[in-house]
Amino acid sequence: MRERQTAPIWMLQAFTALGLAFLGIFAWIFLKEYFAEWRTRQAEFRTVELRIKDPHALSIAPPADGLRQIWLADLDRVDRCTTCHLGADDPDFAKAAEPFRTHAGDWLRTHRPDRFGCTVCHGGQGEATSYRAAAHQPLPHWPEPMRSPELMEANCGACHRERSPRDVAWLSEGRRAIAVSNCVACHDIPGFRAEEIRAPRLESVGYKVRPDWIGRWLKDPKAYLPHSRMPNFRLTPEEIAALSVFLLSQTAVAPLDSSPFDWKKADPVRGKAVFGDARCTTCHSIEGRGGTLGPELTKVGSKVRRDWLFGFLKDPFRDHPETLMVHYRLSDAQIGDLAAYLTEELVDPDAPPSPPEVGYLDPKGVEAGRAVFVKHACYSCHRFPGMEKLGKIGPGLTSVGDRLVEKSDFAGQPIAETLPNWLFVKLLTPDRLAPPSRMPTFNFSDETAAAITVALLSIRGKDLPASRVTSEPEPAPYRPQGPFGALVERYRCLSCHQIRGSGGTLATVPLDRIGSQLQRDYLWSYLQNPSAVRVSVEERMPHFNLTHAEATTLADYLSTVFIDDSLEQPLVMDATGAIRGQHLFERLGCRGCHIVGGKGGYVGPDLSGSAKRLKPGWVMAWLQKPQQWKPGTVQPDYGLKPDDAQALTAYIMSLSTAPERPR
Amino acid sequence: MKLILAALGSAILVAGCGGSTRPAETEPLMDVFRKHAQGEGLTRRQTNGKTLFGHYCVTCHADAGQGDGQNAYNLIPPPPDFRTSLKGHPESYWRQIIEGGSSAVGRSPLCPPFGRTLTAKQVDALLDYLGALAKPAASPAR
Repeated sequence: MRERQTAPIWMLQAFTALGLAFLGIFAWIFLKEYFAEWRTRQAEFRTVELRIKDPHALSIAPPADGLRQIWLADLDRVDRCTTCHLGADDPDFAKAAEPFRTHAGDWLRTHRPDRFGCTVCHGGQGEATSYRAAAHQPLPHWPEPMRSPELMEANCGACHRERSPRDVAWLSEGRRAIAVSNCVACHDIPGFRAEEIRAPRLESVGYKVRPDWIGRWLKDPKAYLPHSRMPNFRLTPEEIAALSVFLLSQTAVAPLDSSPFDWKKADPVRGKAVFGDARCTTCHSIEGRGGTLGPELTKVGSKVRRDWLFGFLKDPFRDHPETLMVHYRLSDAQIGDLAAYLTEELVDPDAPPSPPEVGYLDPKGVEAGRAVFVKHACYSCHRFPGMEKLGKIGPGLTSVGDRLVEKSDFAGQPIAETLPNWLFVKLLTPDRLAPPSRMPTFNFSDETAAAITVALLSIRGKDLPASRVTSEPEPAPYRPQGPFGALVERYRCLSCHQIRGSGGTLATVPLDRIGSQLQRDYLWSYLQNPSAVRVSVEERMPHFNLTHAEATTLADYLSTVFIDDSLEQPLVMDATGAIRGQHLFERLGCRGCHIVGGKGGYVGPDLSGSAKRLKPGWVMAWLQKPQQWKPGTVQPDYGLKPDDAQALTAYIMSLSTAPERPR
Repeated sequence: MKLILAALGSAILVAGCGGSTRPAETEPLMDVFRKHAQGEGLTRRQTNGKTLFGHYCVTCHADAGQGDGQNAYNLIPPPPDFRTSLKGHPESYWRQIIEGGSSAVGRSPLCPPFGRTLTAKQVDALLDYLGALAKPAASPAR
């Protein structure tokens, strides 16, 4: 008989301990799930709900029970936020405490939760079911904690890729600043095109500028001229000297010969008058007054050479084929006067006296300067012959919003290590962070750097489905041909005006339907003598000194090609209608903004003389739906009935006395 | 004795702080946002309202709603001074004027109706900003 074997006592003990341990673990798991944070929240919600809701409605509504989630298959996201935020889509909870409060604004109407979820806009960890894990506050190793309202604009921008989407001021300002600062010259940035880069060409700059000016300028362009687009490259004095030699050696296109002109006859006083008459300040500013389309001119006399300026004013396209500058029709005498005014009156009082010109440039110095030019990638903004193939020197920013903060070196700065902070500090002080950077200092204000940070964070690497993205169509370049095209080219109409989505934005009116808005004869005389129809608007369209033949070509083309047939409907203009229209005009308070017969407001155009200026179909269409024709116009939609609009049109078109205006 | 203890305590404290590797971390970006929000003293909706006010209203009503805008001198009667006139009427009254024009409440027709031009959300923002204008303490610096 065999003796019954019993397990040693230590085994029994171990087994009991293991059993108890398992029991403990299971109990812990069970209790953890049973007392999960979200269950507590849902229990709280039921109490809040009882207080807010009508008991009958409550008894038939499905109860808040169990985990809830929104699955966005196309974005590969699961958001369980609604497990706790149970009142977000219910207006009855507007005054409840968080996490049950109704979502602010009407965002959920424009961005339905079942289609957009929560974290797409807010950030955070959607799959989490506790406050901490959802990254309401920064969470280690979770790249995107919930964002402040300002930083949320970056999430708006991930889908809304227009240059300035509505209601997101930081994002829009950031995108504007990226474009103006030519960031795309050194970095690949989705949504910004190389054609937007603006900087003068330099292959003939040796003829253009004074040698001593280059050094003063390169030292710190923004200190010399606060509104300069050019940043500070933190060049050493040796680099500046070398670059100066290189730039002075650039003489590809010689300026037009000004030697036959007798400078003794040039008169700065007459030149100032030419400057004013041609309305140069529409694009150029002097001491802070004027436009920003062209270079600032306060100290231009200490910058450019008089002979170059003469040639440039005579034919600006000769050495600057892509300039926005108008080729004015000016006589040599006028050009001489203008050049004398610019070079003698607009000088830098702090400029040291010009050193004598050096005729010989050391080839070694030129080579050294070329090396500096390439090192700092000056060619990325200033397109330069022979350097077209050199690449962008900055890192691509095509997924900068997804950059891992672990890859960003804060160089021991006492800054909370987040990607937004790193970008912000980098933009403000590129030399403060590691590794040492060739990125120039832009002297951005804190606000501008913050706005650019928001805009950069909106650039995500992940491809979104096309149905999620809104963007502006890329403008197809428009280049009119023939005699009209030549005039548009010469007078640079597209520097300010838009045609078919191409061109500048300085002028208020796109020209696409101008022939249906204005009468041909009015256009003809306006082109020769442009005078504003709004009292409060500064007159900005330059005096081009067009010949009659040029004005005829332009006016004829505009009024045959830029036509909108829907505006060309014949209208019956009778006297009774006009009288009724006059009553309406007074009753609706139109005179508050428009002058008629010398009396009225300054907001809209003076309507005196409309009979000779406007076309009736346009007036009628404009009165009925002003925003459709010009989004954002101050003219409100009065909701006019068609016969009232017609009566007002008849009245406006009966106003034949031209406004009196001192000229 | 107490003094000695206190000195000892602060010495330990100083030593403890000295031992930590980094000074307190800053949030430079959030500081800009905070400063910006405080500087204006306006909520986000009021800021939107201010933008709209600047675009549509300032020509007559002036920057702070004082009623002497560039175009005010062409208007008879001139626009009121919002800083005082806003009190005494409910918000619905001003909503009526914005949406239906000043003639909608029996005043002159010189303030046009913007009900078909602005969205409901924009009118709300504008009213919110007008509310801020009426409170001198919160009215933005000019």
